[in-house]
Amino acid sequence: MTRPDAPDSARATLEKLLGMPLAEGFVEEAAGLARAVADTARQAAAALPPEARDPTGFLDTLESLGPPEKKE
Amino acid sequence: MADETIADLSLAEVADAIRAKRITSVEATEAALARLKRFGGPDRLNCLAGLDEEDALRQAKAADADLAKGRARGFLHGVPLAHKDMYFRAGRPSGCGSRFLNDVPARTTAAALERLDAAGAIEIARLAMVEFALGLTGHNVVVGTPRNPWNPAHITGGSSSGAAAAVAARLVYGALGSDTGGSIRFPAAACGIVGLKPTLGRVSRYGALALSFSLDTVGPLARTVTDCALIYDAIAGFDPRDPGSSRRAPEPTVPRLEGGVRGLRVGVPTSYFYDPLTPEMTKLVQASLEVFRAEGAQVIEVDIPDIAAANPLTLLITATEGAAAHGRQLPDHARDYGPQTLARLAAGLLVPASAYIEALAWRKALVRAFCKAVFERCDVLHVPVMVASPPTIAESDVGANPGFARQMTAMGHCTRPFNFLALPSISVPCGFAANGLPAAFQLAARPFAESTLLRASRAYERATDWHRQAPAL
Repeated sequence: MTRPDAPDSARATLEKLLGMPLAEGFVEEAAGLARAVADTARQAAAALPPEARDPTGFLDTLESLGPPEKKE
Repeated sequence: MADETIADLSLAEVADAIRAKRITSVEATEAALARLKRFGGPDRLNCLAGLDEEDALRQAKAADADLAKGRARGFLHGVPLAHKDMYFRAGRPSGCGSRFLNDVPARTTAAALERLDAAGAIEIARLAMVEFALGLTGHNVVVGTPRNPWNPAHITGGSSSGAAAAVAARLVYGALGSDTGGSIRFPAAACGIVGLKPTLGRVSRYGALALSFSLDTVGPLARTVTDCALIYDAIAGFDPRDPGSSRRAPEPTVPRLEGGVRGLRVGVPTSYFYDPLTPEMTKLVQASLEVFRAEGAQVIEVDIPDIAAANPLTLLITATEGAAAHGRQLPDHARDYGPQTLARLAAGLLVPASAYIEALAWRKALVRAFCKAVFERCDVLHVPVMVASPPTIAESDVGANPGFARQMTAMGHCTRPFNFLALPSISVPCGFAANGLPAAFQLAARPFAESTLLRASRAYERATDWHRQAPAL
């Protein structure tokens, strides 16, 4: 299977989604950025224990980490 | 009072002067309009996106009439402000720094504007910005790049580029910006003013241009910490129209502003933040710690978790969510986008969904680990904003050419981690580099501790005079 951020499939994907031909170098830069950040995400998540791999409820997490709420 | 004298007042001072009827809102507005017209255009700072003089004066006259009848609307009564051109007001277009939105009237009014209206402020202009708020340098190849008031050859920083330039140049008293990766703090630092990025969820994004649901924040840029606090207190609070809005009641920050830093623990990180800094920027930022010590704060070293991935993962989330936010208009308008904006959104179209979910999962784990490691040891974390003095517009104009991703990543080294962590952070001026461009430090705190951030920043500001220095235009 080809990754969508691989250069060979990136051009076809982007030209279809954007509806226009893309300049030489443009696709390589965009695909390179996508590949770099996606690899970073995989490496970061790999270090997480399975029970910590739930991305939902972020606002609740944030609120639980704040100072005690002052009630009127 | 002469126009120049009125322009030199801070937001807090002009609000006091209007309330006490030493000047009128019309006088303050006329002074601001005169400076916006003189210095804001394409031949000078290029920071203006739109100006409706007649409407501004109509609002100012109404504010004066209300005050004459003893009806002050709020603590910003009659104060002229202008905002980044991405806050929609019903019936009026907001261009969002783009080539194709300037003629599209908005259907609703942004929550932040509604709150400023309720506090009595009047909106007199729309300020230039980076195309769709995607970029830290301030370049905008489709509608024009604002110039830094301290040296017009240099960048303002972005994406709240026009807002930072206009406030620093004393054209307006304060402005709303937005911050997804540093877009309030970086331009505030580059232009020598104060910029506050609130905690995610603290200020409603309803009616503001959406870039990244997980990262977008709305906050003020102003000349002083007090001015920022006044705007922040007006706009903070729950809004059911923003699904990411926190129900926590906001604590007013102005009453605690002058509390000082005696006994406050100011943390200095032992890793990451200073790694790419120039020696000059390191020296300028670290010198500000001496002021905190002199004011009675306890400055301590703090070991922080490894956050190196936070910067690229902020780029990942921004690109992915940005691509989704632009999804419907991208195929019709792809040719209208500037190359760098399009490249960043294109990258978002290529990121696998699994990587996006992994980034969000790590974020939740990291914010817990970071708050435990850092904010159990200190009250605020003191770090740089910029890795180097702001470059010239020409030397940093990379577009979507090879290497643009590297430059973009490097510029957000110190700001993006706090977007990823969703923590409140503030940029405060702390001197000037040898080239005459401003320097700044950044403070971050635990979620919803804006009051502590502003109080600490105000203590520093009170002991220094960087905020009183104005660029020679």
